[in-house]
Amino acid sequence: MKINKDNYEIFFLDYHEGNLLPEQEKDLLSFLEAHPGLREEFEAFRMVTLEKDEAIQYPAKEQLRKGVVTSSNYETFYAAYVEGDLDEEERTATEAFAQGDPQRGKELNLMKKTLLRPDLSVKFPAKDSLKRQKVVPLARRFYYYAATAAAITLLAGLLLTRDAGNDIPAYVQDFPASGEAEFPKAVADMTSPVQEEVLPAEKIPAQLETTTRQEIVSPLAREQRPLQAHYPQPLSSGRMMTRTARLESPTNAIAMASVEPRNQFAYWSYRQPHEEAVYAETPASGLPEEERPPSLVQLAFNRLQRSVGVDFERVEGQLRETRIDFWEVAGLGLEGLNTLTGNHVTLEKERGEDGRIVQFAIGEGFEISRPKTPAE
Amino acid sequence: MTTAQYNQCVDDHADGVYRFILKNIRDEDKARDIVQDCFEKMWVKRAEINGEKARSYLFTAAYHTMIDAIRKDRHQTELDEAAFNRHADSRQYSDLKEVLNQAVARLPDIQRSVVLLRDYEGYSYQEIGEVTGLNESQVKVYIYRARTFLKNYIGKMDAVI
Repeated sequence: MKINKDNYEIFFLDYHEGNLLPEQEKDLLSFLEAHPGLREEFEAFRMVTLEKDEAIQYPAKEQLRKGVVTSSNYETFYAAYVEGDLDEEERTATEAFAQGDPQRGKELNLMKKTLLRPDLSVKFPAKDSLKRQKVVPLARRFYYYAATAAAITLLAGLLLTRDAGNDIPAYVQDFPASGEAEFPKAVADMTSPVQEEVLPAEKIPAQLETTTRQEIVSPLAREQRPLQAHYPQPLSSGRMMTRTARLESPTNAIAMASVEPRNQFAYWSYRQPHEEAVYAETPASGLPEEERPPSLVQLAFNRLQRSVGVDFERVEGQLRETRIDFWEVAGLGLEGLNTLTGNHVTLEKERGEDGRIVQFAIGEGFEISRPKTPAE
Repeated sequence: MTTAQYNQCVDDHADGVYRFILKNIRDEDKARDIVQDCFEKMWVKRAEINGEKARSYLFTAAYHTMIDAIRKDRHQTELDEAAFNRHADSRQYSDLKEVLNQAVARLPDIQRSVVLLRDYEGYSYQEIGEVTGLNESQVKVYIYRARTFLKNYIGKMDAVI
């Protein structure tokens, strides 16, 4: 490329930058001689060149250096030394720096003392209260489990309140609707507030004997009887109609003669073996037991038993033999529910060393637990 | 996380969390509340927590619960600190441990937390970062600053003694 009036500026700049070949420089100088009016512009390009200002220096150059311990960065090296963040070369450099001056050495020792040690005698004072015994996830199908719980409750209530044998004593059926005058005299004559009174068998009035022998239960059974309510008519004198007399039977069985009326919906039979004989001798309501018409409760119960498929006789037997255990009843309730719904819901429970239920679970998603006590 | 793992976590870490919180806020009742609170949180979230990560979760929950509590009580804390400072200036320290405890109490919250996690629990910078929400570089810087402060503080007290 030859220099001309259109590109001379490039040649001027390259000349000052030292980028022109000797022949090009010779051409440039010849061009300037031929065009002296451009010499001033040529000289102006020379002024563009800047000189270095050596006086300007970065003030914190030491901090940028790596691996070199200085008076301005030694604390960082000391901290890194204590933390174990230095490589071997840097550790050596740091130690050398510290040894170079007593004050620096003392500071390194102080830095080593900044490592904190936990006081292991400090312990959380109630650790056991934090512990749990069982996972308690939220019920994902709450309505399902609520229905399960309701069914269990209903079934348990039905079991506990059903009439054991549809054997409503005649004296209840024949109980006077109102009026003290119609009440059996032998009962009405009993003085209040005697709860129990031991009478020789021969002293029992015939009418009382007739009435009370319709059902004789043991004192234990009387205590277990859930309620004595729903009397057809309270006596006007305020005396309780519930009167008892203890019989000393020849078989040495202590039996309780009771004239208390019973609400058939709240009756549960707990006859003991020794009572059966007495019971069998008792004149019934006039019909043999197998010929008596079933009560509404009995009808409903029979239908439920057929539908659910649960052997309630077995349940009753278990309840007779053992204490009434809610968990047994609940388990049987679930068994029935499974039959009705086609699901497989199980009841799991865990007892503590003292025999208490400490946790239970229904199915896979509904569990209840309680925090451990310190004793556990 | 299973119930057994949770209970093991109580045995293994309840004391450590308690010491960590207590050292930070210097209030036993509040420290107990915070520990119970974070264990309750862990219990509720246990289905989402890997048993191996339980410790990290626990300290993270404890740290954030503590920060919330500190912010809530910031005003009261500042008053306590002012009273403490007045008292500390005229105090004669009997040993290094006591001096160091006072120095730790004077650290900014974040520096105190990271250095306690580092020294008490032996956490790495990365683990501390996960607990506190900081990156590793920030954790490192805070720890270095904390150590420098502690060094200068005990050096000054050493000169006084």
